[in-house]
Amino acid sequence: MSLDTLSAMRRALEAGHTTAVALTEQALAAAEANGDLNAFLHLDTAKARAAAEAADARRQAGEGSALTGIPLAVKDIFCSEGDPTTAASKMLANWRAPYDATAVARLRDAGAVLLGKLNLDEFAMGASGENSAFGPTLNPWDRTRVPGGSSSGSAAAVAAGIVPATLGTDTGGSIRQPAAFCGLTGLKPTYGRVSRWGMIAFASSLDQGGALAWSAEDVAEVFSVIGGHDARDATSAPGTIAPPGALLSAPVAGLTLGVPEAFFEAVDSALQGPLAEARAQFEALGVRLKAIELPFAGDAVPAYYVLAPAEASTNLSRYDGVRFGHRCENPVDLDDLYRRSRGEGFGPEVKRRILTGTYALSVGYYDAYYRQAQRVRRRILGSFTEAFQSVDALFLPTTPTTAFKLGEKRHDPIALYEEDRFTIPANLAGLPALSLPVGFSNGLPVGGQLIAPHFEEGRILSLAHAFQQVTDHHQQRPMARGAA
Amino acid sequence: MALDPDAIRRLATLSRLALTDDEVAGYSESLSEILTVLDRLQGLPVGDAAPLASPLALPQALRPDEASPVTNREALQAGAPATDSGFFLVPQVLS
Repeated sequence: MSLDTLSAMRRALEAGHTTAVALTEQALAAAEANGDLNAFLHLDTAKARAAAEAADARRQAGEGSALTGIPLAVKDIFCSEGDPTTAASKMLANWRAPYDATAVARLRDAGAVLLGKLNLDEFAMGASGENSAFGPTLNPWDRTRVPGGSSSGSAAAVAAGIVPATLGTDTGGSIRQPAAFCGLTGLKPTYGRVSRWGMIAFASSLDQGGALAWSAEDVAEVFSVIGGHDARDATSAPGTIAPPGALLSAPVAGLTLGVPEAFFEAVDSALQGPLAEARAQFEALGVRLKAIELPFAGDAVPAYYVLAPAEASTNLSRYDGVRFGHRCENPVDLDDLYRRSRGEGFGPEVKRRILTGTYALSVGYYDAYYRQAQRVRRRILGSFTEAFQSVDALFLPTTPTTAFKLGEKRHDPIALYEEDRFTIPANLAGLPALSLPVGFSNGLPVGGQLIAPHFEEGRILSLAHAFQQVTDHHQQRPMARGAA
Repeated sequence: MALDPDAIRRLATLSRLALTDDEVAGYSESLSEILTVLDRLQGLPVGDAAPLASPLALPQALRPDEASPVTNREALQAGAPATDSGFFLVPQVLS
């Protein structure tokens, strides 16, 4: 049987039972065998092999750390020096990043072997992976279904057994929703925990990098490396991240989990069973459940779809055909250059969000939309703060449904926006949130979500880890395709 | 509130986006639908809640005013569509 978890690989490396080179060859073979998933936009075989040899040398010299020699891959929204970095947009199809994102640099410094760049919804705008300019990613559990988005390749690459963990970003649920659809554990840390330096901006007050892997244990390992203060990001939160052991070992018996019943009532009936069993499982672990209400959290979708597009319309103004990215042919003047370069370079959903954001920020509508959304955001944060007076963390569904069919919601933006309704509240409030597998429905994974107060990633990682000590949902695998 | 094609064209001008007539028609329809969702914000009893721009009330980050290495110009301009002698080239602005 091939090693497919980060902790198993790490143990095997430490025991001398395998090498970084062997693990990397296994990953490259699995990537090739799963090429139909379209999980990777760029696979750098030569660079990966060189990094693997360097990692083996480090380990042989008695150096290195937990990630040394582990094959990983990152969402193609993180800059990586010299590599194509496209954000899955035609706009950046030929652009190579001149520097490493902080999260990427920290992985490299730790000795991780980076295989390449993973597919996503263009500029992280989407909930299905279908908005990529380079084609959709397929779900390894059922190749006729979406893997979720926007970190579509990040989820598919782990679920297919190519790499044991990946980096994703989460602006409105883009780590947690694909994690749920692909049977993985995915952590969106507190806003500011993972540096945004070198992470292509979508909505700067919401964007947050994080990790996807099979288990909370493996997610904690990656988070402890990529997280922590970075002076190059002015919104980076102060402080360092505790080591993985500490992140996973907070006692959970005696904790109180708030359960917002309105969210459970809003999910598809197929998810009700696994979610109810998960609640019972937490109780069996000595966790107390308490029904709570989260006023205004049900209004998160409209607030988010004003604020995120407004920030995007500003952030994406940098793609002007002058400094980097696509430029139209034969512009007649500067305005023509801007308009046609952007019209040709951006895909349909990105344009839709730029137009929506421009509308929300325009004279006459600013107060009604943008200001009002910011006030609702304040109320949502207040609802969480109030809830955390009486509970230690929250448990709720990650998604309203299991993975849906490719094309099913492709031309229905509102249906796709509603996909995010359980994940968006944590982004608006900047809270750490994690999705973990809680069961299956018709052979498809079901995700449950844990949310904690700011900077309490350890609390939800410990809850998830304790849950995974007594359940095996995170050990289920889709049918392998040609893997070693 | 519906956004007719002329309203979409105005937004496209503000956004510096060239759109085809088909795109204008499509966005007129989809943005009008999206606005029906966004309009749910109106009338929510937010009371005197102050607008929240960023979720963490952190103090302004400051660092010493010291020179530090930055990516060099050649590397940055390697990804630019058109450059000459360290400058970015654009169509003639002044005649």
